[in-house]
Amino acid sequence: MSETTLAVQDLNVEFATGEGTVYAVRGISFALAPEEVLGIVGESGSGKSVTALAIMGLLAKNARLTGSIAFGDRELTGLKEKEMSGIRGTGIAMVFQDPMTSLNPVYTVGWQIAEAVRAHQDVSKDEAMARAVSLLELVGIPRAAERAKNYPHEFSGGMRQRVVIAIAMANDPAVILADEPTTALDVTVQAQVLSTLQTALEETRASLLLITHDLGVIAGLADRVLVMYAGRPVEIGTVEDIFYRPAMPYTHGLLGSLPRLDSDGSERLRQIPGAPPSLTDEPKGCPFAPRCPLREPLCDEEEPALRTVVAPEDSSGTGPATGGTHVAACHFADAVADLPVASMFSDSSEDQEGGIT
Amino acid sequence: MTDISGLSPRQQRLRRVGTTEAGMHTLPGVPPEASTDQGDEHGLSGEARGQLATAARRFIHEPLAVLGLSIFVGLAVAALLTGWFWTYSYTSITNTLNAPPSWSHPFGTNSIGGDVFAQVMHGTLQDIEIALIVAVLATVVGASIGALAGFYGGATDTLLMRFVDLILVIPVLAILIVLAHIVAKQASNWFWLAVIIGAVSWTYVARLVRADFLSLREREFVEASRALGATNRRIILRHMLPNAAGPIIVNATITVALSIVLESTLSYIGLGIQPPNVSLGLLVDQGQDSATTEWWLFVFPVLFLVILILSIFFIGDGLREALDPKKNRVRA
Amino acid sequence: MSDAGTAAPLLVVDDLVKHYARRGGTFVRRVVSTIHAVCGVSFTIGASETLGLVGESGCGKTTTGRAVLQLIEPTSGSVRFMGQELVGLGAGAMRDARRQIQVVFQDPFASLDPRMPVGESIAEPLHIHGMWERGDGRRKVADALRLVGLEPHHANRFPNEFSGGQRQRIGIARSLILEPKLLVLDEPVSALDVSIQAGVVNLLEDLQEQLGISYLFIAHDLSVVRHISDRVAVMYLGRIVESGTRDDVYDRPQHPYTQALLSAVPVPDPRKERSRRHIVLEGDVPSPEHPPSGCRFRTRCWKAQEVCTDETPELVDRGGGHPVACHFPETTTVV
Repeated sequence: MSETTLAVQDLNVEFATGEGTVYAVRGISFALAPEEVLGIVGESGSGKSVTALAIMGLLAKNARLTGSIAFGDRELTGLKEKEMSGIRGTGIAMVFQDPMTSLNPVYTVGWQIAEAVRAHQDVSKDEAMARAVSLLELVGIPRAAERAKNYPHEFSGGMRQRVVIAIAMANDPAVILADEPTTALDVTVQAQVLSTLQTALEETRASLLLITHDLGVIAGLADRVLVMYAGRPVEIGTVEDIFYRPAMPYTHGLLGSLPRLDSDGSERLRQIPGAPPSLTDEPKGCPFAPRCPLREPLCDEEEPALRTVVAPEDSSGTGPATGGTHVAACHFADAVADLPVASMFSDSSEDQEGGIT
Repeated sequence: MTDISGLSPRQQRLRRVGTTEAGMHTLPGVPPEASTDQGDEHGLSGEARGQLATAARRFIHEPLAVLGLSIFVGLAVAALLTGWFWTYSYTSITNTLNAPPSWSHPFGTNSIGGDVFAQVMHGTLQDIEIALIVAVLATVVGASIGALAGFYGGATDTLLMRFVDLILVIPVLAILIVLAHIVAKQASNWFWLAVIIGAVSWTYVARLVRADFLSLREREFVEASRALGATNRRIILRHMLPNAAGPIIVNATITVALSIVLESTLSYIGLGIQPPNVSLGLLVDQGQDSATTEWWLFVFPVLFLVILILSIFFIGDGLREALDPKKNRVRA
Repeated sequence: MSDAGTAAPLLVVDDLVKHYARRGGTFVRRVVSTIHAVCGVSFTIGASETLGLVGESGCGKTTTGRAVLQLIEPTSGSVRFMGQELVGLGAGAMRDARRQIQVVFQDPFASLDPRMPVGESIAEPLHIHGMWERGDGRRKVADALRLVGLEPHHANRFPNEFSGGQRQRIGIARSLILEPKLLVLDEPVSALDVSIQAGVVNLLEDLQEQLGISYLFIAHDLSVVRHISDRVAVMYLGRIVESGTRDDVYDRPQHPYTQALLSAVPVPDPRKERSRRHIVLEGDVPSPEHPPSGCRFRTRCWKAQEVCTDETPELVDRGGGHPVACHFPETTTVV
């Protein structure tokens, strides 16, 4: 009986396109424990969404996948579509950025939730509808019984996302996979949706795989964090590890470029120079090296594997916690972990982007 | 610009070019700059490229487009040269009747002894002339009307577009037939024919340009210009037209090709170019009965007609590819 | 960073209103409903200072920005810039006024003409206002490029050869070439990746310090606004609900909406984020076509009483140290 709900082992995804092969995901491994929230963070092009699609078996036809995705004791890679669709919605439920991709505009919301229930459980239509209404109440839709008869377009964006979460909850999934669930939403609406998500986790006792570029959302929800860059994981650790003791310069850079709501405005923001690499090359050495202020010759020669970061000497209880392994893909991870966050990046206002491929 | 020499070092940094700051902490022995791989530190390489030059370069890389252009130019040049230097003109009458192709008459002769080669060449030239006039007329009139309708919108737009609808509603061929009949007997008949065809072809261009302008009007760079204080005239001429130019030019080439087809149709039914003048369409009409017997009277005109039109389409395709600004995009 | 406005303010907006009429019908276009986009907004901006105008979608902040610039015609109200009334100003005089008020738009891909080399785009204001002279003009363009951190030789390039952050810098260069006193920035960094945002925000700060220019900074990202603003005004459904200095609004918010808004912004600091108070509002934002009577926030406010329906609260200082439009303001820290 495995303790891990979802285990991804050395997943690689390539796309064969007209312009050559795109190496979208290059060797990612992680384990999701029961009732755990794992946040996958990265900017656009980092491969995080492709990872989500790979887990769900929703990749395009020109995708080539290697590696293993173990859901409980079932192997998901190589499953036939029929078997995979049996798992989607029951075992692993999805919440995507745009609610309209999951909601069918021509059916009422109540009907859609009820359908989701009946797809995997043997209950009558009435029972299913009753459950649908109770789920709508749970996710905070006012006047749930009435509104179950409304169509998706009659709801606002935030409400629609909550309906999607209700559908996700319908069959008590073991894993909820949320890909940028709040990105397009206003901040107060985002708060509503995140609160709904937390309710969903409490009710279903599911694990959450939360994929986003927003570090604030991660800070609020995640237990552990995986940082992706150019298709590969560059740092994995607890949320405290990542935010207070990042051991990979890219993580430092991400944190340093964020303006803080609680800052007094005197701290300058830090830029990460250059631009992310193209996913069609397979670089030798560390993919972040061209942009890294701490670059050394070794960085260009050898690609760093994920290595364990040494815990801080000080264990008086006031230092950052280490509730689990903290790994980072940097040759100098230990030294980097000791540096003040983002101190190695410049706070100038010059253009450091670079550009033409 | 304000003089900032008296400002703090941090502020003066804005003026210094080329250095990247690495901040306070570095690992021992590490040079502090982060360098990018190509070009200057902004990643842009040396030469600048004008819009025309870029378009020209891209055009040259499309094999079909270059082929089309070569053929078109080749035909025009050949036609001109034939007119000046060939032994026979298109009106010459010889004593060899219905002769198959030979050295002295490469395309043979027709039933009254005219040299088919000279006629086909002149026909090609005539078609090209007509087509160019039609293209210019249709494009200028169409673009102007479309631009005004699209830019001003509202009542102007409604009025102009109802006018366009009116023209479109009347069967083109019917108008042409009636009008062509009237000018058919005139000496400079081909010119008027071109004008007439142009007068009914502009509507397509107008609609296209109007649609373009309607969408361009909402683009943010237009709003930005307005915010800078630009007059409407400036916005239309300097911002919107160049941006709409791509589709306009491409459409002009299509209009050219279609007008040739239209002229051929007219000639085919006897209302286009009148003898002794020739056009490819007329030749086809005259030669169709003999297609099986004196094949050269039919085949050569048809061949040249097809090649001419195809070459124009290839050019149009190439222009469309070359002028598409989206191809240049570096990064999303 | 800022001059506390002891001199006469640069921009005075008074009771600005913008309503859009929505027309329906097929033959006769009757007015079906009115969209109350901006309903009586007033604020001032002094020299060398930044006013951050924040709010969520539909609050009217973008419309306010456009109305201040006279890119859309206000329904009523006054916009006085350097003492001159802009509303209803003739085209010629408005063009002159535009030398001193400029704008930077959100989308760095759309706000530059793709067919013009960037040097020409940057020089355009000079041409429009008759200030272009061959040698002098080129020098100004070169200076402008350097000012925003790019190179003079980039002037011959086309917008699509640059990345997002670089294009935004070009847009900023264009807006600064006439040395305006006020810059209206409408979501200037929202379309940029976070790590690129940082550079542009730093640039804007440096430019303000260097050139003494004022900003009307319109944005929905409260963290960025905190970083760059001196004073802040919070908008909801067409009205300003709270305004004050930056620290007033962020550290001592009094209006329930401001509190909810601030508490909803996630802070990238796990310990902080999990120990904060998070206020989750009920329901949706009402439609601007049918705004609630009295206080517009009352439909989602946990303090709403009868007086909130009957009486529209004015934006005044109610003892908290800065103006707030609420009948029951209460200072709470939520950041």
